[in-house]
Amino acid sequence: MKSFIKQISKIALLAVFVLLPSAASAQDARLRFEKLNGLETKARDVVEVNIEGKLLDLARRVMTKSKDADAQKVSQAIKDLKGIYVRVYNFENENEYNPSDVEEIRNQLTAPGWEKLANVRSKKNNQKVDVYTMFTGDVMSGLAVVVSESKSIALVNVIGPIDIDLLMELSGKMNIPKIDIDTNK
Amino acid sequence: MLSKKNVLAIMILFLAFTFIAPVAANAKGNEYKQIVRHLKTKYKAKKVKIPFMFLARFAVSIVRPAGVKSFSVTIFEDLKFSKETLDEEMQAAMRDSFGADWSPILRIRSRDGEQVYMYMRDAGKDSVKISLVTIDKEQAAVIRATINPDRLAEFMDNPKIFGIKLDDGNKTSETPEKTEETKVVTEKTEEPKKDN
Repeated sequence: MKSFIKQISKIALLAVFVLLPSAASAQDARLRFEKLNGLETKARDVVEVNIEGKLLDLARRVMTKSKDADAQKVSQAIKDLKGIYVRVYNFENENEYNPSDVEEIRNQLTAPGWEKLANVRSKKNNQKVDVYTMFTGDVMSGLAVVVSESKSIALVNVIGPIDIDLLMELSGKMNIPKIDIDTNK
Repeated sequence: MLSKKNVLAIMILFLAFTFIAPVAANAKGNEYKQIVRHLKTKYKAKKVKIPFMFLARFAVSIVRPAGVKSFSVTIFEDLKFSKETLDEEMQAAMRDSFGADWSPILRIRSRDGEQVYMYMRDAGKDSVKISLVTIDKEQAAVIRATINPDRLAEFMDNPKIFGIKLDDGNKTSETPEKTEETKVVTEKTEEPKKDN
């Protein structure tokens, strides 16, 4: 009986060591938005979107079944996505939030794996836009967009492989905003 | 031979499954009713009667338009709440009512008193359940629907009920053109195969 328990414990330990790193790497691109919970009471409007698992599956199933070519492409683009998370906070007045709250999110993006793709700084409305990407090999495994202005904060976190070429092809179609990127080298 | 301890343990387990499990399942199975009750009791909301609602629900259960298997709508008016605490109270009520199998998808909260909460869960047999609660000023609506995604996709491709087309017939001419393009491409790629 004791040897059986020992064997089970060994298997359990092995499972933990084998599964834990893969689970951790899958969660790497997920930003922790909990730090922004304090903004809930200060903000005039709050928008929280969590699209994962079942809803992504549903979207995939609907798009795959559709005969529309663009819908099929969208289905292809989201086929391996793990989640899409959005947080938007709008404030009544300027400087109603503490900039360190947003900096905490930006600090998370200094972790290994994240690369800054673009950043925009404008004096108008004290606008700061940062786009970060995470790559696993050659595949983009995560995307983060942090937008802060004097009266609003917007955060977008996409987890899973994203096909940029396909996304570009779909821009301007099916309610996907038009993306103008000059691809000529 | 089973020891007294084992017999006792089995009896406790049996009792737990017999009495506690159905209560727990029931507590989390009536999300819709719980939210409706919360709006009614907490905010003294008055239910608005929707004429022929039962008929609409019956028709939907038969016709299943756009893959909607069933639905429920309850509308309230004259809600009395504090704008400051409404979101917190609603979030707590939603958490208490919706079990772990439900996923919160969307939450919108505005200081003006506009709130939207959307939850979703797998309902087995290729179906999903969607629950939506909207509060706008003094009015509220609680909506629940069970949808078959495959049927919804079919409806999106070809929107018709009882054979009556619901689109204006202006379906984008992109699709046929594209299929022609793809035909040309496939023909071209097939040529070398013939040679081989």
